[in-house]
Amino acid sequence: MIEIQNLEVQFPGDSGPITVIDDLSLSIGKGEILGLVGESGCGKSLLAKSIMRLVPAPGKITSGEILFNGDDLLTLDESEIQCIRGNQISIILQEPMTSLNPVFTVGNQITEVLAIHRPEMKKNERRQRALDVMKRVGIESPDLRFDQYPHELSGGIRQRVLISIALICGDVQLLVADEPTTALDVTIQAQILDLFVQLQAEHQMALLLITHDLSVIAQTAHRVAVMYAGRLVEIADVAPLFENPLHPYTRGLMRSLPQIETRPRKSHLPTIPGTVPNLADLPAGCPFFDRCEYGREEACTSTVPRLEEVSDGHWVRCHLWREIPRFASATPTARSL
Amino acid sequence: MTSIVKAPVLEVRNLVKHFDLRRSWFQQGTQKVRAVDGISFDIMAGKTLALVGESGCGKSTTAKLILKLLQLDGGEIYLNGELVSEATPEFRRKIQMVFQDPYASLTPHFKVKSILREPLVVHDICPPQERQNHIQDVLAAVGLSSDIASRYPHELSGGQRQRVGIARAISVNPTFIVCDEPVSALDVSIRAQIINLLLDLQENRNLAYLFISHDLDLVAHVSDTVAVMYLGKIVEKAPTGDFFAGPKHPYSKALLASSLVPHPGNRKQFVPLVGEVASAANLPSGCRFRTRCPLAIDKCAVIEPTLRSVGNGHLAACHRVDEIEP
Repeated sequence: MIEIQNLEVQFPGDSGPITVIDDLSLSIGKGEILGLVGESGCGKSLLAKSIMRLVPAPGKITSGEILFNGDDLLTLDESEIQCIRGNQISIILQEPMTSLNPVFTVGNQITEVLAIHRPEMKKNERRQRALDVMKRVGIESPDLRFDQYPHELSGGIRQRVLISIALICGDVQLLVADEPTTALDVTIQAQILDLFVQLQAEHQMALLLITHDLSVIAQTAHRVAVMYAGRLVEIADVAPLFENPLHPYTRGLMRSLPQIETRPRKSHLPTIPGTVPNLADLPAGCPFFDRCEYGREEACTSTVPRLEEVSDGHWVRCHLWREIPRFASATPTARSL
Repeated sequence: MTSIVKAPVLEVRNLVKHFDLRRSWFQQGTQKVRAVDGISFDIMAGKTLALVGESGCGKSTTAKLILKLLQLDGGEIYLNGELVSEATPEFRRKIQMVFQDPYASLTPHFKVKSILREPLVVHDICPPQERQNHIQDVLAAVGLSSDIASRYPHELSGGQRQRVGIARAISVNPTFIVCDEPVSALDVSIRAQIINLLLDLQENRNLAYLFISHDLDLVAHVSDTVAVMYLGKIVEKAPTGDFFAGPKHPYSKALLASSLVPHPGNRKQFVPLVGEVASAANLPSGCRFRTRCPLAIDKCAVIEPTLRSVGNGHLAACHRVDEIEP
């Protein structure tokens, strides 16, 4: 349904442009939940903004195309993209505390979308629609909430208000959710994720779920893409990815989780040494080489690895994937309750 | 060292903090938010107590009370067996804190060495000519190279900043450190490094930690005792192994059920806890959790349950605890 091809995003830097997203190709099918993982600064939020054509200046999409139902979003003019944004493609931003406007009521902010995309609707129709959507996303007593201001609401309700804003037009085909549950408590997180899974199942809505929490991915996504330093380094269906991650970075992430069932308490957690490389000064060759436990000087430092298809639908960007031993995953059992 | 005795480093007895809720300029103090409502616990040297619970349950207020950043409305704090009546410099030295956000907790226009020198000057830890060396030692102890000392915080990564924050805390040789969500602002690959560092420092220096976190997997890994807070009360307290093997309070069970397992093989039906946390300004009668509790009975609305032993140092505050399957 949406197909991103060879996307490149650059920001101007002191010594020439810095490539923040490099040669990124990705597709999301109808009704699919695609999880996107990566560290801060790896370009995952920027990818979300690129899809919405909201790359903040002075950043620029320098090449590639984003095909949405066959149209290239990057060649549309501003009025055309306005018709799609918030209507067929919606975004939920990270911070439920700051992405609502504090001086407008919740109802005002939800119906604003309708005022733009459905100018023919009457005011009371808009209100009714908003109340229906608020109820759908699990806001109790919506007619009371409608006239409240964001500061009167808890984090969980605010996040639901943002979801209402994203869904109000009714024909959202792709929802981009950037860290939608990071700021929330575990109990509320479970409620929100449950809602996403329902929406996806009922409406065949596609969801791009950006997070750094592998548990969220494991519990909801169908497919997972892992980003590192502006590039995709691994894509696979969720089960094979967790069973046998091939990229050393993905492996490091999985290993560093404290898995209570398999690891002695207070023992050292395995780590990925070092820190993320500076995008303005990427080494030649594989950007993960410095931190990689499998890397070999002669194989990894001359060229950037290509994204290769290892098995059906499992792609990895590593020179040495053939040599990497099978992932010794101690299969965690369901938590005993 | 004298601190290696059986007495706990920190004892907290019936800690209470009520905030006045001003409805308007004219009616003051008509309503109280019972943020912390009579909680008690001990922490031994070299051990970690984890406080878990949803936002607004009083975890951070508890930390502030222990640090004497807020005035107590009731209860006592004992540090190394002595009643703490006011925050003396010695008390301030012994209790340190590691903050959640390493971007906000370091002064941006100070170099790292100035940030680390300040506590040494305030607490007169070593003679001025030895401060330089002391700073180098502390940096080495948290795994930073000595050239970091002449950098500004904005030149450091999140993980490095958090290490500086930890260095600042340990530089004055504390006996007790409050870690308020110490890794939740960090990337997954950096988290494990910081956790390992905290574990090492605890072992080498026999530090006691109060570890505040909402990440239950992390709590299971680092803590010795778990205390679950709900609306200002501890509803369950148990040795970590026992707690994760079989939580007794319905709220603890719900928390554990909501936390996600990082494995797609056992995807579970989300069993969300219905509703939101009740308001601490307007508490339900009887048990505070009864409005969300699947097991609530009439008795729960009348009598507030108290913590009682369910064996092996495991305490839970629930009327129906005996009926709960392990």
